[in-house]
Amino acid sequence: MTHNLDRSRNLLRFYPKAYREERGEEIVATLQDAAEARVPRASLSDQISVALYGVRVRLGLTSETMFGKSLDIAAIPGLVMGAFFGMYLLISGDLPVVNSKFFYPDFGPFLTVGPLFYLVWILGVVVVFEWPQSRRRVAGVCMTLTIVGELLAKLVHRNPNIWEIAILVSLGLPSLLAPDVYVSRRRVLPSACVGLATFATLFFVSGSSVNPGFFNSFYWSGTYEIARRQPYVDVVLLALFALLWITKRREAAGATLILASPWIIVGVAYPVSLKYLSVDALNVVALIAWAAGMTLIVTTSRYRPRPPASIELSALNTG
Amino acid sequence: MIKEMREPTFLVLATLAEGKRHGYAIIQGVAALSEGEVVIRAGTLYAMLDRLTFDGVIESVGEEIVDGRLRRYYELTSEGTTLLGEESKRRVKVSNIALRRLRFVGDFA
Repeated sequence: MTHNLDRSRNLLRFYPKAYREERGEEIVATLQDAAEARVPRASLSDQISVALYGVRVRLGLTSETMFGKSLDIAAIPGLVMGAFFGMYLLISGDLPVVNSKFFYPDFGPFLTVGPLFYLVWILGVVVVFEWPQSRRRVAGVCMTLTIVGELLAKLVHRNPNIWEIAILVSLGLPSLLAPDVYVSRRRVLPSACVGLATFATLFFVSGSSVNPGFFNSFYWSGTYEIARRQPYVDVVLLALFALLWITKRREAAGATLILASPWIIVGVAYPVSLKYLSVDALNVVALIAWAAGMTLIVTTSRYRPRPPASIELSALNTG
Repeated sequence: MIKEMREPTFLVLATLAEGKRHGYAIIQGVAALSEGEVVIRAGTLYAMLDRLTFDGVIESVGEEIVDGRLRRYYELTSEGTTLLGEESKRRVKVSNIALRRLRFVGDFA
């Protein structure tokens, strides 16, 4: 029993101090009750669920916080953006390779196994359209298959561009981290439209007659474009964030920032990884602004104890 | 405010409709109401309690120590009572329609 009690108390370490002080003993009591009443395996599930919720509270990833709400808004648009990103790379990058004189196919008619990954993301979005509640599992499957596939491809085949894969995988993160709230089917279509509109904006804002847009294929000069054209995208994203923030749509502003993360990070990280490419100053400014915005969201989402007045009012012994 | 309700949330609120309950009693209540079909894990329970408290659907009404264990009690707010009432009526309405329709197809007369 003491061993069980110690283990239950240890689980509280996953929670922030304020939460632990307010709810810790209550959670331990519930765990003790559950452990006494159930088979050991069930009691282990209780302990795992308590630990996982502790991590969520600590990171501010619950449905009550701004971070949690922003992730919830960004979740399905992120998956939709991933699917369109895959579709775009397939059309602009992989299909032209099939008839190219300069590249030889390494995976069927394609240069890499990339088309398989894109297909997984497209299928993932189809599943989410039908069962929106499964968005976390779908994101987990898409991300895992993409990462494992990339690693295997590196060993066996030519692997798709690592930056492209990093962007694709990070678009699933909002769904993976979003709190477990009810997602009705009527929310899916507007969310998908937001995803498509965001993707289209990113694409057209940097389009020109010389180069067909921001997401030009990574297999050729496209990789350079992401760094070169990112400043235009930064301006649009940060302006949108500021507009939403000022008009008090703070959760939507947070979602914008979350969905912008891969582009803003890659805009700086990619040229930094190459000695011959200089980093655009505006990309650095955007990265700093992004980091400040994310810090604001995370800080705002930290657990805060309930005001003492509400506890006093609700105390059982006051009647 | 909650606009749409999942089964576990409905069961938690239905458990609290009987009166104030502490954490483990809610878990037991949900299991009993659902005839063992829905088992809420402790971590999931506290995520739900936090969310429902935040939404003003339930509130903490005090605590006591029993056998050295802290029990915090929760009950429905007036908002929560209204919400549960409306959701129950909606479910009854749908069920009644389904049962009426089943009368024509099988052994549900």
